[in-house]
Amino acid sequence: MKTEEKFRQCVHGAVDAYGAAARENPALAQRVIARANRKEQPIMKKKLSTAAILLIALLLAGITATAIGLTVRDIWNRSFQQMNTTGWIHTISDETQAEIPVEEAIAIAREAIISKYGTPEAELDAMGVYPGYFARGWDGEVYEDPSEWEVFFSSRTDVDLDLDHDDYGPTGEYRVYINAETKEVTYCHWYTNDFWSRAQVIWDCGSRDEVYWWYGQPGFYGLPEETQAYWAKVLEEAGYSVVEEDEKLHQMLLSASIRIHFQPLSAIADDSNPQVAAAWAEMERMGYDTGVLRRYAYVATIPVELTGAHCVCIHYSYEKDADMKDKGYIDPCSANLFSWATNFGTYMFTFDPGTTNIIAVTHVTRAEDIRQEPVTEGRLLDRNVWGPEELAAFDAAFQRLDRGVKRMRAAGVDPEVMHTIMNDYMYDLGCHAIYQDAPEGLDTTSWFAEESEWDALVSVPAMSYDEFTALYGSDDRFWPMEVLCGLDPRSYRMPNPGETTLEEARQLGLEAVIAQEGEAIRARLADYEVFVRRVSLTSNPDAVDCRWEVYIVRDHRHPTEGFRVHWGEWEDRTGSPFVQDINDKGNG
Amino acid sequence: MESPEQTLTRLVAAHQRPLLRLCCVVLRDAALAEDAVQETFLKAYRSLSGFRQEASEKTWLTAIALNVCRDMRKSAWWRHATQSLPLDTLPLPAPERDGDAFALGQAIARLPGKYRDAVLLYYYQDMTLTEAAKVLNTSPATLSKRLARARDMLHREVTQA
Repeated sequence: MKTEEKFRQCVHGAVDAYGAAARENPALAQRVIARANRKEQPIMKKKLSTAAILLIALLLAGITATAIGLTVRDIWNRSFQQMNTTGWIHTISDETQAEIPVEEAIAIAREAIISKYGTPEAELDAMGVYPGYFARGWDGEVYEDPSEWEVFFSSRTDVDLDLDHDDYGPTGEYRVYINAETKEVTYCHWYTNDFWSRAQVIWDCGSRDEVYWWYGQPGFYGLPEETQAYWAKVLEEAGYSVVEEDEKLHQMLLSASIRIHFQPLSAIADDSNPQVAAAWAEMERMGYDTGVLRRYAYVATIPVELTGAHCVCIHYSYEKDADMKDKGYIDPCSANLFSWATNFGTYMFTFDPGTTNIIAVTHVTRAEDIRQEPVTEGRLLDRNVWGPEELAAFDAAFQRLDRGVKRMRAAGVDPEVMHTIMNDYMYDLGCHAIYQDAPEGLDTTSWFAEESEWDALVSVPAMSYDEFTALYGSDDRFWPMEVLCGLDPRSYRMPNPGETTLEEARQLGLEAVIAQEGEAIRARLADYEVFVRRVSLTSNPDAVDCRWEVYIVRDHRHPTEGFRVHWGEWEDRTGSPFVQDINDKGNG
Repeated sequence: MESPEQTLTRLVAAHQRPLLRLCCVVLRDAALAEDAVQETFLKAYRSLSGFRQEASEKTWLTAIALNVCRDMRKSAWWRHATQSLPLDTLPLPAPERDGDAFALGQAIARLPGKYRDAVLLYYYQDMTLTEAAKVLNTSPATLSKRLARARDMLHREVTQA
């Protein structure tokens, strides 16, 4: 406790020193009372959405870059290089202080996963392994928390699709925490959006609580009815309270919110674009049934001005969902809203400029952990209930939003700029949906357009509108591209245009290691495998807090030799070219 | 019986300085921190009648301040954006001061939000685990873990520096 108290004193001194620049106002109470009496509005009456802020930041970056003769891409690179200096490189083989070696931690984690989920050894072998060691407390003696190993087994579909590999295992990630002192597994969980494909194995393994827990998730209601009925019966017979879970789900859906992202129609591409055709061909080569996929996927090109590369993105719902729609398991309305919200992925193909040669493929899926994430609270200003028979009205509502955008534009506002460019250049119209009643699955949905949000999007420099129209033309309509449903949209998300790409992160990771270890290691690294993870660090849905982690290891199955490169700034400083990155030079 | 004005005056006298410094670490900007603290007390003043003493005044004010800071962080970006500052007019690095303490302060400010807030509430505001967990809407066990990791991160950062 002595050390604990010492640390407390250190923190007091540190915060006081750091915050000394902030001056006390001796008349603060009077000032507050005066403001309250004047009914002065709070400083931040309106909240800008994150995407709007990011957009403005990008626009500013672009404007200032133009002013000093830099390209936006220069700014991004500069930002990232700057952040690179704040990161750390962790030599995995140096974790000698760990109570148990990394090999043993991995072995324990594997055993726990196999025991709980019945996962075949070969499947784990095909996954990337990412161990991390957290030493016990400050100076190793302060807290009772034990030292801990965290071991992730991650399918690489959410990391980096290397076309040389065919077998990436299931989508998702196992996460195991191990008490490094007692070797006890304190946590073992599988994050996936494809749980039910193997629920029977897990049930047979004895992990019945796990199955029961997943029963309470919305994804269950995307299953065929007979599957739902089967598991309801099995769980009920085993003594689980299915009714209680149904009630919990209902309550959760009551407060679930949906955000719909829109994309300018001009960015939607078809096969007349040779790079799009090449992207589809590559999807077929990878084994996708593109006949089915094309009905549910949207293809978009990203302006080279935004990314510095020629990219085509295919946004898709999973084939199994498409198949279920074809079989009539999901009504169209629910499919459009619910299925998009729970299962959605993107392939991004990067091309050699002016050719159809694909030089990189990035595949991103969302591996939600619904329980861990807060359900965003929807704010209800208006309420409409949509049923399967109301698709026409649903479409009309979209048109209404579209007209609203046009009205704003006619008034001199260019709202599409606000979210469109930064957030995957999709325009967030601020729509929210509240699942109000779901007596027959999810066939009724209410949602509204919160037009008041738009007011917050007004202050856009005129120049940005010019930039936008130069990219997109001035008569765009919008297509709903993505529906986010109370989930974490940022986990494993693809980098937004302007953020550091996976390839860049990989390269910077390698360079960081070489910078630290010396040139001599460069040749050796050729024998190493490099994996890049883009991870989210907080559960705040408004936060932008992804960062890249680069693992450079001898063998992903036994990653006991290698390096882990993190970037120390955690709030999307790993490549997002936000103005704050530049400005933060002044704030440490 | 205190009038609302008297209560506010007492609260400002007792809590302005620690809140300023807490906000400064969260916002990494002294001027914004001053705005945030004013906003915090304004919100507190307006809701004095609803304060039921279930939490301590410090806990209550700290919770308000953290919420204000979250909004202000967005506001800060917006403010810079609307000023359209060219790169060469952006602030220069702050001068070194008070050596190790300031460096640790910087390290705390750079922690991810949930770790930074945990350190500030538990070690700086001297809240109990339960109080801090309540403010951060988490469990004491989780908070304890965050504190341990925060210390680990700070340790790495400071030793590497």
